[in-house]
Amino acid sequence: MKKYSLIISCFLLLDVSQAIAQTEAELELIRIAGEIAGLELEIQLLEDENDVENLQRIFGFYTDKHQWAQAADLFASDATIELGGSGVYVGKENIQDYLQSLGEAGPQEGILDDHMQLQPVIHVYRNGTAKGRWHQFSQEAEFGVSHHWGAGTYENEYVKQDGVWKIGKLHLYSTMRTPVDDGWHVTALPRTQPSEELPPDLPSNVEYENYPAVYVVPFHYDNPVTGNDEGGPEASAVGTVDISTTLGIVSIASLGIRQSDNGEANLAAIEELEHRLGLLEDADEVERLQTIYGYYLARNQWDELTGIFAPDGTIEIAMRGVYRGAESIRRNLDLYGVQDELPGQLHNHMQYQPVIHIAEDGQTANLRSRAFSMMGTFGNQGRFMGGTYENIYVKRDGVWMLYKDQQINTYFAGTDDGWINLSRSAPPGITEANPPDEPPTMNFEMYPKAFLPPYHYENPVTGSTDVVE
Amino acid sequence: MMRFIPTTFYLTALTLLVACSDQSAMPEAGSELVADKAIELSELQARLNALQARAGRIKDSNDIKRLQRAYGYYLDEALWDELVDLFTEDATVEYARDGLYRGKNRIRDYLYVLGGGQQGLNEGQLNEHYQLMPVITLAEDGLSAKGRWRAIILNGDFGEVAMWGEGPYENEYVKQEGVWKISKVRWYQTILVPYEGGWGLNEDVNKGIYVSSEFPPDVSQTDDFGSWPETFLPPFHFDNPVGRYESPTSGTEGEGL
Repeated sequence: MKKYSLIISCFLLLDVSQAIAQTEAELELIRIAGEIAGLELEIQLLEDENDVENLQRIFGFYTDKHQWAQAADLFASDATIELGGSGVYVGKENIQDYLQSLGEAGPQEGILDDHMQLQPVIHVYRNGTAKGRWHQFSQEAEFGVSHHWGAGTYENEYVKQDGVWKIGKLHLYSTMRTPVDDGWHVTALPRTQPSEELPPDLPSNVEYENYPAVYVVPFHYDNPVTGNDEGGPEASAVGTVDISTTLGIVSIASLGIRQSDNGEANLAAIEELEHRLGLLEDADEVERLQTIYGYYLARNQWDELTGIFAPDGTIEIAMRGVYRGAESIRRNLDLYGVQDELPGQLHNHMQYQPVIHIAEDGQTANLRSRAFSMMGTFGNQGRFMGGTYENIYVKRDGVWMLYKDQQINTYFAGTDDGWINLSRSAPPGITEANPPDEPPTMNFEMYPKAFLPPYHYENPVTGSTDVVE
Repeated sequence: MMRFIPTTFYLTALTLLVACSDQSAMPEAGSELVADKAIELSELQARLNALQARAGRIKDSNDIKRLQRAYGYYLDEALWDELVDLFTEDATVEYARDGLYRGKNRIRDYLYVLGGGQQGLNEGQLNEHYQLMPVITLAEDGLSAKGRWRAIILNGDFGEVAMWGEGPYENEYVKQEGVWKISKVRWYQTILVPYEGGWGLNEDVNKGIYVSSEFPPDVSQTDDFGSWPETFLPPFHFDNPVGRYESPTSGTEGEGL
């Protein structure tokens, strides 16, 4: 493509003398069209970044519930996957076979397999590829048999094909895995071994050992302050022409011609970009608000928390039922403790892994995210809570507000007891002394029962909404 | 750091392409046309400028998130030199109740002391610091920003001790010559407790004091927060984005989740 565009440019140079005949106004229009094209590329890269983050987070939600076919569909046809020491599987079909070998498909009673996708460092490149470093923090259990903590780091690659982002390379470097009963200072398990029943297509391409050994997972990027290399294919040759810029020039050219006929074209292009940029700002605002929700919840700031809801908003936590409107929401929060008073009480509710979709009109948004909580009162065994949110946000008079807050809990587990013998599967449910305005909208049971919280989105690659394999 | 093609490049290419693509589409220049378009052009340019500024702010916010997350990955591995390079020359760092260290050199020395005099982890050390929950607020001029974050910590020495840790940051960032840097790290330690018994049965292992007794800070702890099981609310750099609700009562005794 580079050669191709160069040839075009040379050919066009023959006509350069005719360009000089343009009036000052025409040249101004052309200059603005150029700026518009530059801005469009910038906005495209920001959209790509969000899409790549969503993709990895969606992968995480699928694999938590063993939705192997859905997860495999997120990969490019020639993609590779390498998890820990299990070797490399090549191609979408082999990836799906491999994933299916990891456990029976679909959510399973007695199985906890939460893999939190955290701390993305994403770089999107102009040639339609991207790289991402992530942390994975996992909680795995088989009821009555085992339970583990795990940690790892991904260095992944993504590729945009026909306008859709897919996983090109998924590489999880395992860091630590320990049985809950021991802790990582007592028992640290080695890397997984390649399967004998379903051997990998290629051996592991890097040698390292799990903790207690030390291994620094290679970074795809240089130091962001002192370095220049963001890991892209063109990093050493900034300014060279690649496919996307070549295409960009063609579209600028057609834009420029239209403007000459009709000054409306520039305006239409700017309005389109205003819309797309607005949706990007909306996504940032919704993620920010969900995060602030977590900070207020963590310190029993009930009035602050109530304030971020829409006046007709609802809260529905742990099958306690629906509380509608500020007064009821505020009353619901009393169930979790006294406002602002937390002597000896820990109530952290970490919010992360958001998958956000803003409606085309920019007035509503859906958010799936997860919570991991560290709770308890000093003197008693602390508890972990895991759960999924499926929330709805609305924009009123330009301000985003929480319209529907729904928490589907996965477990409440003692810090020392863990999940192995956790038998309580019923969520807290309705409190008669402080009842909801409406009954729960969704019935669910927690681990060790199996439950798949419904998704607000379809598979971003296939469009499939099948949740059962 | 360059991600976009310089405008001049576009302009040249554009001029070339437009010039030969369809000459018949170019109207003859007339004074009337120029006058009409002059008004339109200034409006277009103004809207375009506003859009460019807004896009720049989103990119700034994303850059700051990348920066803080990069900080976390370096901290995980005790890569102090890489970590210190993320700071401005006059940056400050204050962890837990250890006091404040000012300037890159002092911060570097402090981090090396924290790391036992070396860079990188020893075999058996675990130092995971997950950087979660960013709330980034960019200044109006786009040249500085504040960010609240929360860290979950998995800390340990094999054969000795494992610990859970957690606490929020209130950090500051500045943009210097187009590059975002960390100008202030303030991390509040909510808990650092042994794995066995967790926060339910253990007080904070170090009361938030790390190495300040052997390596005194430039300024002693700048606030009066204590350590677990004491609790506190580090101030927010941002107001409620929607607006606080004023409840008529302070509530009743809760039953907990």
